Order: sequence, then structure tokens, then C-alpha cells
Amino acid sequence: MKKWLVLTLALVAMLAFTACGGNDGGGAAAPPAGGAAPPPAGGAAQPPAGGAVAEVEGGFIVDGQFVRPTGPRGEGVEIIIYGWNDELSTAMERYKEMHPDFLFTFRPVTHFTDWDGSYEIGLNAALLAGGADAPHVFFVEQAFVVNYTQYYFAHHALPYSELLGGDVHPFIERAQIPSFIVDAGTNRQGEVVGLGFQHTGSGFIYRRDLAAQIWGDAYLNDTALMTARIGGGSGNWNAFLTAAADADAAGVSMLSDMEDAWQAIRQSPNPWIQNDRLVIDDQRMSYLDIGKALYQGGFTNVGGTWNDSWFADMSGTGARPVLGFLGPAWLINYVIAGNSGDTYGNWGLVAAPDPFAWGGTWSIVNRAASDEVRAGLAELIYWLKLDTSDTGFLYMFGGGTLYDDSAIDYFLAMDMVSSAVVQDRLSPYLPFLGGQNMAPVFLEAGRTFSSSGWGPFDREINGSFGDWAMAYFRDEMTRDEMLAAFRQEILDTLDIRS
Amino acid sequence: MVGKKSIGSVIFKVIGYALLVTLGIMSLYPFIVMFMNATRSMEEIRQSALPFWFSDNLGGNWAFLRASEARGAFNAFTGFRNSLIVSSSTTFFALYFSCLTAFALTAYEWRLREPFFAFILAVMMMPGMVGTVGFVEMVWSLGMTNNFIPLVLPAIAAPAVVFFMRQYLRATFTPDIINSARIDGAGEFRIFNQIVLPMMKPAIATQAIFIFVGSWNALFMPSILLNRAELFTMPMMVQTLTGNLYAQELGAIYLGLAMTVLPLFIFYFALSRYIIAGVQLGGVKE
Amino acid sequence: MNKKAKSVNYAKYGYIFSIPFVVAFSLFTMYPLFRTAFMSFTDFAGVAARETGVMNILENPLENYTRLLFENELFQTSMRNTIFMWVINFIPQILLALLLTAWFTSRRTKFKGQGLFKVLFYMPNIITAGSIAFLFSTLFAHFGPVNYLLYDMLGVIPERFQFNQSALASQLIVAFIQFWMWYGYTMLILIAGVLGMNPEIFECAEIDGANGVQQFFYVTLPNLKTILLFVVVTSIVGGLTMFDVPRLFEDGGPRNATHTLSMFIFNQAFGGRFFLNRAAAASMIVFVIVAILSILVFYLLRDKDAAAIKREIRARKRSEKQLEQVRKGVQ
Repeated sequence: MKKWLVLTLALVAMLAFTACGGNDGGGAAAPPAGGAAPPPAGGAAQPPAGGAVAEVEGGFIVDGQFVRPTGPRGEGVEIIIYGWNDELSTAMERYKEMHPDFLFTFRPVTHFTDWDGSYEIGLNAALLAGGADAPHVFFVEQAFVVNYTQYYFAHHALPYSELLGGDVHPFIERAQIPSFIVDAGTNRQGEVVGLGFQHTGSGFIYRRDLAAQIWGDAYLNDTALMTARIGGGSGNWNAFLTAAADADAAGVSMLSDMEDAWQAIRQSPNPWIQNDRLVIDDQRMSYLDIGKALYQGGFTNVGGTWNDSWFADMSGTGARPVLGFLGPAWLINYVIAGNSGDTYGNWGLVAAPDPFAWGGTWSIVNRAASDEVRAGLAELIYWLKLDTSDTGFLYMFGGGTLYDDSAIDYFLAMDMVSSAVVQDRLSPYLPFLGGQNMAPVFLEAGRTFSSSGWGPFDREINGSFGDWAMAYFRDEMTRDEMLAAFRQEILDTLDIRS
Repeated sequence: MVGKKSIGSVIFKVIGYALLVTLGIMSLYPFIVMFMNATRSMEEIRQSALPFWFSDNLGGNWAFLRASEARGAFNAFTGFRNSLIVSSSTTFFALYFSCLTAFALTAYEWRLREPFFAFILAVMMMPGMVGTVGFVEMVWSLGMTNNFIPLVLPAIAAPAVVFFMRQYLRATFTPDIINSARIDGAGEFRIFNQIVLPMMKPAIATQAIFIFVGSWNALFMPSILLNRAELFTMPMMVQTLTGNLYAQELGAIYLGLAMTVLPLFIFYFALSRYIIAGVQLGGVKE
Repeated sequence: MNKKAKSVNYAKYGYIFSIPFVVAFSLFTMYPLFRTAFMSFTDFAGVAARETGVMNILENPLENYTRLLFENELFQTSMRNTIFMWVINFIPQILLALLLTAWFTSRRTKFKGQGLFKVLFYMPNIITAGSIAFLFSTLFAHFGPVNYLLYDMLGVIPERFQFNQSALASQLIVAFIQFWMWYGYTMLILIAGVLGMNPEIFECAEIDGANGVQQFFYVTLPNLKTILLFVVVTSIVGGLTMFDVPRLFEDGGPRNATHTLSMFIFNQAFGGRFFLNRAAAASMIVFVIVAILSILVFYLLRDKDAAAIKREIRARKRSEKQLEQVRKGVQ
């Protein structure tokens, strides 16, 4: 009697999961062997159930202007979005609110973690599997963006021009998007396949009150003094290290962790891999000296990053008070501000010793997306990346007016956006910075920065170098040993010789 | 029991209980931490990671989880439902077919019987990782991603469970048990289902816990084969919480973790009397 | 033992009832295994390979193997780490499990609340690796409870210890996590084995005057051999494929201290440059190692008496057959 119960339950369970686990049945179509660009793997195209798909002659660009379709569109069409957080998918919901005729629905896939590479693995698996569950649009961050725009997965990326039905370069020029963002999103045929929306020029974000404690009250309000003190924009770190010694004498750590400095220093104009060989250029090599000085001098709290020690340092409740962090606007808004506790408002911003850009999110459209999905994505991509009007995402995001719902707090702060034209209209005076306008410093950092140094395995190689460098800093290995070990690991894992 | 209360045996008992209690606390404490932290707020946890009592922020943490749900990331009930489906099916398949195979190995004399058993032993030694790459490739090429079948059907062949069941059956089974049923004309399959399976209840109960837990906690294979959020299993849902670095709402994370563990606890305690009673791999003869 | 009272008719059911196992196994284990094995001799790597599905056998088919074993230091390190962490985890685990088994099945000393303890000790096995890794990360964090205890409260260390920068500490923690998660399970399996033994042998030992310790070592343990075999083999397999915990705890630790074989295989296959062929070769190497170790364990723990009896039976059968033939020949 009980047995039949168990069997019935099992049968019901089986039926349930076969109903739930909708099998797409369509595997990835095999592209022609040896072909340069594989044909789009046929995604299951769903005809719109009701409502016409707006037809615009020649795409969405008419006479060099973007023409937004009107009328109900995209009913019954689902757009699959891959990201490692729900930042942009939430923003897209806002677009739907602003344009009630836009009836596309979203399926965000945001469960993969980013810090351990799981997101890339999941994304790659989905891209390669193809079929109806493959992503239609996906986001990539600076650490691996060029993999998807220029290297291994570049053939999955649909050029924006093709998506929008017209040349997007005039739009980019009109919006004045800095070259480091555009270059990273341009594939090897010169087409733009991805763009970032954030301007990630970076500087030194520091506590004014601590600076005053170390060097005198003048430092409370004078950023020029601070810039000179750390050698901001000078291109070398000597002044920075001297300042670190001063801070240390006053019982303050210059940085939270060596990783902070590594994030800055590794942004070299030269890629790690040149002519299929691993090359450590002078700038990256200099991290060994700078980091060693920081570590052995005790100028950092050595707690690691993205953990409780790092967050505690942002409110000054760590082992020792920390003077500052090196990073861009998103570090302020998304990380430091929320963790800054009582120190909120006592911060300032100056140029880093070597201006750099760190981070950013590029949006890439999958070639395999069907025409119906592309129609929806065209509008979204334009709104997110190229729309410089006051109702464009860039202006609203930068101005902190995208949402006024305090539960979605990361949209409430003013941010740095990619388009200089839009940034001009925004004056991001941040309360966090005591009212300082953050734009000039960050813009200057992004102006001359070149993303030519970004390459396909940056995340792995940067991580490995930083890890082995710690062994050198802790005197567990000599410099030569550490470099040999690093080179060996890159050879072992990526088969790239030095 | 001969009662000789010497000092030595008293000391032994004291040390013994001390060790047992220590181990018990050691085994239990992380769970306590988890459940207590689920009721504390992020700030409280930041201040002192080890809790000593419950706090009052359960509602706040729950609200945060609901908000995450609304944004489409974490969904406790979906994760629970999916995990339940996958784990129950896996457990059922593994148990039923392992018993069947063990029955084949015990009740019948057939030429290939011993070699087959040796084969099963050999297979038991095979680490799952070995075939993973090939298995994942196969599933992709069949287009069976986002489908529970590749996660469940392989459980039909569970060598370790077969081994355990066979040991149990060898010690408790005699042909007399089924001979009378055969004389009455019952088919072999019915005999298995109606006579042998009920006999194996204790072994089934014990293994059921192990299999269910193992399946419930599996993270790797589902992560590779499922990317539709409505199909995510519970551990995958938990990943969405612990993986989001920007907003480490620690209290909510612990609440999510606690929710993952809770169903297992219930299942476990329901079957734990078998553990307490002790599964005997062989009954007492005569 | 089974009586040979069944007619030949029923033998076919042995085959029939084994079919589901065989089919599932062939499909889900053998076939992927062969695929993996084949892959290990080819150049199947990279995104292009995954998309075209073309595998070409290398000019030197063993190239993947030789490069892994002799040139790839990360592979060698992973192997060392895995074995080290497994040994550190397993030896205390089996010893503790045996001790607890002895206590909980002893006829002389009865501990109260056995049931509760058994339930408690198995509990760590329930929890997901992800949750555990997260919990232990917070425990050993820079400002975490362990440091708080050692530095702030007890003052036994000069400054907060960086657990995630110390290779040895990381390895010990990972080994401890594994120990913590599995010792209860091992204990339960062993108890099940002991309870299955004929109580008469214990009674005989008591009559002979053996005390608790002697009983355990001379009666319980030898009869536990098959179960011990099961436990050791499954632990070897589990240990060599340790993946979830080291990955989620510190993602390989400082300078790859807790980088295990499984992580190596995983990263080769699904990260970086998708060296599926090398991952396959590494998997096969793991398989061979496990097989060798298992056979070794088998040999050491074999039931010598049963084997001797079997041999005798076989020898007797042979001589009976010869007698039969002689008799037939005579006639």
C-alpha cells in the first residue's frame, strides 16, 4: 500500500519536472568548418502573438537620427539577459515604464558570481550551447571584455551598426565617448560590438580629515595641496610612497591593501600577451617595488579586498584608519559610500599618481538573437549607450534620477557616464565628497588613458601576478623565484610562454 | 553488565562524555550560527560575527530576500521546489534500481554474477570527475540543457548504493522467503516489489538520507546544465546571495542559507530514528 | 550463504533485473568515460573546437599526458595538495569514527544519549559546501571570530593572523572542513557494519575474558574489513575529487595551496583556453590513481579466510571432476 503511494508520488514528480524542464531540442547548429563568421545558430523565433512589430525602413536610423518606433511592439517576445548583477536589467525595466508600448519581456539571468570566474563559465556555456536559452544580450566587464569583442567569442557579437540598421560612429562621436571605452568594444573588423555606459576613469579617493590630521588643516579643503602631496598625475609613485611614510608615522595606513595599488598599476598601455608570449612590461614590474615598499613599510592594512576588512576600512573601523582608495566613480557610489559609516562627507578626490581607468560594463548583443528580439534590443541599446537626451539612460543614470525608489539605492547617486556631452550637463557634486564635483578628476583620467593594454586573459593573469607578488612581499620568495613561479603558472594554465 | 565502578572507568566515562559533548557542539555550532545570524542585521553581524542569541531582524532580512526575489535574482520557493523534484527523483531512482540490482546479485545464481559484482566494485572506484567533461559535452550535443533529466537519470546506476544493499540482502535474504510466493504463482517482479523491498526498509531509509542530501547539495552539474532561473536548484539560489559582492546583506544571506538547510533538517529528522536504531547490515541469525 | 536450491529457470532474472543498471551505466558513465578517454588523445581544445566538435588525434597521442605529468607544475602541485589534504583529513576521521563506533557498539560501556550524539555527528554532512565555505570564510576572516578569540581575547598571537595568506593554514582549514563534514557519515557506516555482526562471536570473546579494547581490536576490526574497504575506497574517491569546498572557500588559496586536482581539471576545461583534451587526460590520470589505490586497499583488506576457503572448495571441485572423468573413462 505504502509502496504504491511512493511510486505514485515518484510518477507525479517525474511528470512535474518534465513539464517544468522545457527541453528546447534545438542544439547549436554547427557552423561551416573553416568559415570565418559562423551563421547565426537558429534561435527559436517566436512570432509576436499580438501587436505589430514596428517596421522602420532601413533599420532604426533614418538620416543619421535614431527613430524610435511607436505603437505596441514586442508582445510575447522575451529578451534573455545575462549579467552578474541586476543593475542593467533593472534599468531596462525603467525603459519599459517610460515607454508603455514597449511590450517586450525580460528574462534576466544574474545568478552567476563574478569574482571567481563563474559568470564567464556560465556565459560561455550558454553561448556555446546556443538554442532558445542562449543569451540575447550579455554584459561583460573590463577584466574580460576583449574576449568577447576581439578574441575568442568575438564572432558571437553583433555589431551595433547592424543592430540599429545604420552607422553608429557618428552617434559615438556626437556623444563624445572616450576612446578607451570605444576601443575595447570594437572588434577586429573595426565594427563597434559593445559599449560601456560608465566612465571609469579613476583617482585617489581619500579622507580629508585624516589628511588634515597628518599634514595640517589646510588639507581639509584644498585638493591641490593633496594632489601635489601624492604626486597626482605625475606618472610616478615616489611622492605617494613618501606620503605613505608620513601617514604611517601618524598612525594611518595609506591604502587598505596592496591590491588597491595593483588595480591601478596594472592598467598599462601594453597588453600582457604580445606575439603570443607573456611579457611583463616595466609598469607592471614596478608594482613589485611599490607593493613591497607598501607592504614592508606597513603602509597598508593587508586585509585583502572585497571582504570585511576592506569594507571596514571604508568606515575607518579597521585595524588602522585608512587614508584612501584608488578607484572610479562606481567604487564611490556602489562600495565606499555604503560602507563609509560616519565618515560620509569627509572624503575628497584627487588624481592618482598614474591616472587609470578601472572597470566598466559593456553590453554585447548575441548574433544568434532573432529579428524580433533584435528589434527590442535596438531600442534598448540605443537608450543605454547612445541616447544623449535628457530622457536617455546616460543622463538619468549620471544624474541619479533614474529611480527614486530608495530600495534601489545604487541608482540614487550621481555617476560618471561615458558620454562627455552628457557629463557636461551634469555637475556631480557628491555629498559623499563634501560637495566636491568629481567630474574633472575622473574625466582627466579617462582622457589620455588607452585600453590598448587590455587583453584576453587579464583576469587570470592579473590575479596570478598579484598572488605571487604577495609571496615576494612577505619574503617567502625572492623576486626571481616569484617571477619564475608566475611565468610557470601562466604556462601551466594557459599554455602561454614567456 | 558487570558493574565494577573503578576510578579508572569513571575517569574514562568523564573523558568520554567530554569528548562527545565537544564533538556535538562542534558539529552543531555552525548551524546555530547560521540560524542566529539569520535573525540579525548586517550591522550587528559586522560588529561581532559570532552570535550568542537570536536577534530581531528576521523581518528585515526576509524583506530583503523578497526584494531580491522581486528583482528576479533569488527565489526561495522556486529553488525549493526544483531541488525537491530533482532530489526526490534522484533518490527514488537510485534506491529502487539499486535494490533491484542488489536483488539480482543475491537471489539468483547466474554465471556472470560474480564478475558483474566485481565490475560494480570497480565502477565504485571511478571518480565522477572523470566522465564529467564527456558527460557535459554529451548533454550539450543532445540539446538537453535546462532539463532535469540529465540530472536525475544517471542515478539509476549508483554502484555504492548497490554495494550497500547487496551486503544487507546477503545477510538477511533466504530463498524460503520468496519460495512460497513463487508456488502461489507470483511473478518475480511482483515478488521483488511486494516482498523484498519492504524487507529492505532500514537499509533504504539510511541510504535515502545520504542520497537525498548528496543530490540536494549538488552545485556543479546543475550550474553547468541549467541557466533558466525558474529551474535553479536551492544551492544555485544561495549562490546568487553569497556571490553578490556589492551588497553583502549578511543577515539576508544567512537567512537564505538557513532556508536551504531547513528542508533537509526536516527530512533528516524524520528518518533519523533509523540512524538511532542503527541499521544492521545483517540481522541476527537464529 | 545462499542455498543452491533454485532451478536454472530463474537465473535469467538475474540478468533481466540488472539491465536498468547496465543501461543507465553504459549511457551516463561508460559513454562519457570513453568520450573523455578519447578526448585525452586529441587536440580538442578552445572555443573553435567546441563549436565544430572536431577531434583530431595528436601526432603524439600521449602528448597531453606527458606534458601534464612531467612539465605542468600546477598539475603536480594540485596532486600534492589533494593528497596532503586528504591524508590530513582522513586519518583523524577514520580514527575518530572507529573510536566512536567502538564506544557506541560496546557491550561493556554504555554511553547515554547515543541516539542524540549520532544524530548530531551526522548533521555536518547535510549542509551545502557553499554554505560551509561561506561560514568558514567569515569565521577565519581578518576581523572574524577566530582572530577575535586569538588576538583580542586571549592575546596569544602578536597580530591578527592572515589565514588566507598562509598556505599551511588554508590547507589545514580545508582538511578540517572535510573532516568535520564526513566523520559522522563514516561513523554511521561503521556502526551499521558492526551491528551486522553475529553477537555470538562477541559472547565467545567475553567468555574468553577479553576486555573491551581487546574485543574491539581482535573481534570487531577483523570482521569489519569489508565495510572498512567500502569506507576507505569511497573516501579516496571523494578526497581525490574534492572540489566544492576548496573552490568556494578561498578559490585555491594563496599561491594555489588548496588548489585540488578537480579544480585543475575544471579550470582547464571550462576556463581560460578550454583545454578539454588536457582536462580529459588529467581525469584519466586521476582514474588510474584511484584504481591503483583501490586495488591496493582491496588487497590489504581482503578476507584472507574466505579466500582460502574458496580456494579449497575450488580445489575439491576440481578433484571431484577428475574423479568423475576417471570413472567415466573406466566405464
